Amino acid sequence: MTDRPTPYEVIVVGAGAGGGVIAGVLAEAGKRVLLLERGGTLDLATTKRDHLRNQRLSAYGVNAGPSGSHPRVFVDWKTGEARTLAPWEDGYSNNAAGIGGGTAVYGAQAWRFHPLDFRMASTYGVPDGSSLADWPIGYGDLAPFYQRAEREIGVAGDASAMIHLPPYEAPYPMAPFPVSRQGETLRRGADALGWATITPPLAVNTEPYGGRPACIRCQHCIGFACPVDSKNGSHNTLIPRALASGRCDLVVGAMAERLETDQAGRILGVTFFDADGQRVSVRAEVVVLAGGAIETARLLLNSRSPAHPGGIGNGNDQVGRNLQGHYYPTAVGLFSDDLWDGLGPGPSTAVTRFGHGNEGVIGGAMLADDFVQTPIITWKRRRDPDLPFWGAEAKEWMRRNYRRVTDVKGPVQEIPSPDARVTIDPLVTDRWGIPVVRLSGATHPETVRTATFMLDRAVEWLGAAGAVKIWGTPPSLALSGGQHQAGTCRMGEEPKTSVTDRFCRVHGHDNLYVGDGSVHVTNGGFNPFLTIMALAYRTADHITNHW
Amino acid sequence: MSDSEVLSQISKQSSSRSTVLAPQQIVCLSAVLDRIIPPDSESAGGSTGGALTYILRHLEEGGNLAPFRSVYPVFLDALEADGFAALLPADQDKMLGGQERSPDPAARRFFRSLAEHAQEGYYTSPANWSGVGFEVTG
Ligand SMILES: Cc1cc2nc3c(=O)[nH]c(=O)nc-3n(C[C@H](O)[C@H](O)[C@H](O)COP(=O)(O)OP(=O)(O)OC[C@H]3O[C@@H](n4cnc5c(N)ncnc54)[C@H](O)[C@@H]3O)c2cc1C
Repeated sequence: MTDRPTPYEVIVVGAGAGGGVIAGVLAEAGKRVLLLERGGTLDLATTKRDHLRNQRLSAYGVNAGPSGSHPRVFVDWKTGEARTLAPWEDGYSNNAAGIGGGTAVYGAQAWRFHPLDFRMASTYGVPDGSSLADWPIGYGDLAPFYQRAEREIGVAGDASAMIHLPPYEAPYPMAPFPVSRQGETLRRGADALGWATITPPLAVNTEPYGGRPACIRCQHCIGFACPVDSKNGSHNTLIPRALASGRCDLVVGAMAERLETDQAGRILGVTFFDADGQRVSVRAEVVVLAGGAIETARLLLNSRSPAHPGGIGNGNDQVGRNLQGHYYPTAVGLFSDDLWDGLGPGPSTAVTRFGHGNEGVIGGAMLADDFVQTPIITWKRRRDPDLPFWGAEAKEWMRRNYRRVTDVKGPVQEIPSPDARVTIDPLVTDRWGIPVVRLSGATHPETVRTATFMLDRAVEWLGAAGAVKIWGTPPSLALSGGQHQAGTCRMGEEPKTSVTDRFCRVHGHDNLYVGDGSVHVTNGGFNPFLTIMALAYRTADHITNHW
Repeated sequence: MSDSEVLSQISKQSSSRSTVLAPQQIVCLSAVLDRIIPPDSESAGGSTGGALTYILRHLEEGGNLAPFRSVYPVFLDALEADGFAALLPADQDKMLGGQERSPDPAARRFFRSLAEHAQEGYYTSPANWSGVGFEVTG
């Protein structure tokens, strides 16, 4: 093992949404930062445009990592059967690996959570078998950091249209995208139902911003890297800022293995494998884990020692529990005219009235139309279920209807289950010999009820918009996680039921923080990245002020 | 075209080179693909529209369909034993319909997979994108 000379004050593991923000803020605040990322550069050249191997349709592979050297074990909650999976297989719960993490190839819907998303337990009560809890902080604590993220990352939207939220302190830095033809149709439907609509805020430039050009409205946005660098994530904002400060070293191909502690259990630093497979040990005053909700839990659980036999931060058996993501009930509507105008990125019209206050169910979701879907995704996921899977009729259907179908869908706020969890597999290791994650359990049944309710609302909306045929798959009980993974190191005042405190510091370890979606107590009825970034700004400020 | 003409054409096309399928099996596969995605006046069928090229390329080592490399030849030989490639389209459809509804679940599953591979090859081939209305502008 080599000992890296340690000029660093802070080590950040993972250069994704949260880790990138924390590295940038700390480096600019004068800290010397080491940013470790297991992946590499995610741009058009490295991620390409293979319609069958990408982060949107991973039929045979992914384009934004990780590689096959990162297996996981998945346990089917129904049969108890355990299988070892590659990152592109169903059940793996992949997001991405590389500079920017998910934000390099994401869709960039930039939603704030709703004030009640932070108070789920006191709003609805805790259903039997659920670990539902309130956040230790509220919307008001995060609002200034949401605004900072919107400005520094670059979000296009209309603040005055966000009728479900308290008034914004400042407008979005860019105007929203124009309403698409599909959006016009959906708006007519919503009007007929008396539902107010919103243009979804997107972290994509609608005008030159941050030194990057305006979006060219291409058809390969979600799941792919932007061809002109107008999609904003941590890879083209806070990480370059960290590097420009001269105080941040970014090491790619660096696979963090475990946290190192002294006899008393104090965090000393991190051990990682560098790109040549050499094990390196590095020290710092503060460590921030931001590997995403599944890998961060793995790092804590793998950091066993005599002082911490169950891993670090896991004295109360909380690390890895409450794994959440988003059920995404989807209704597809077939219309009698072309709906798609050929322009990206896609989501043009949202409805937020079903986030809360729905009779008979807990929570809810935002509903919206979707990003541009490739022809093969339309074939695999959006075709009429009554269509034969081969022959002239199938071909004719695609030719006639590719531009006539549209989806309405939404990220359902999940009701957490303590049994939906990340543990360490006792047998399987990765190519560095590090024990891999074992995913098991399922969400709480209330999630399925809410998702079913939301599917019905999506169907209702498409019907009012004039769809001639509508279909969708009824949700059923399963383990969530995936691209919206969260919850495995949740915040809380009480160490018995949480992993970090209200500043995302691991209970009992004043120099160890969690900087990614792991800390979400619940995951909101909205896409999560802006909340992850807002929390990361807040955590970085806390570190700056205390170290 | 006679079978021998098709065969000689296939062996000339580099896109049709295969270490997994023999020329005769490729002729049969082409015929199958043209029933899964039939050619018509507006657009190519499976054999010339990208599905054949995709399947042959991806049956090779490291390809998307490599796990299927031992089943394809067996399936195609069985069809060819009944002279599939020379049948009229309607009779070919009947034979494939028999596969779709076969009492043998493995046969049903394989036919479903093969049809899906054909659609993957066809709809990921840029030549077919504007035909459905997916125009790439940037
Ligand atoms: C195709 C796609 C579309 C999406 N669309 C949206 C959207 O429209 N809106 C939205 O809000 N969200 C969207 N998301 C989700 C969003 O990207 C994630 O919520 C967000 O990136 C999570 O941030 P994070 O900081 O928790 O982790 P990540 O961004 O996943 O970053 C974690 C990083 O840590 C690295 N890492 C992990 N373990 C280690 C280790 N041991 N050593 C070193 N490095 C490690 C990983 O390689 C990764 O780069 C999308 C994601 C994808 C893939």
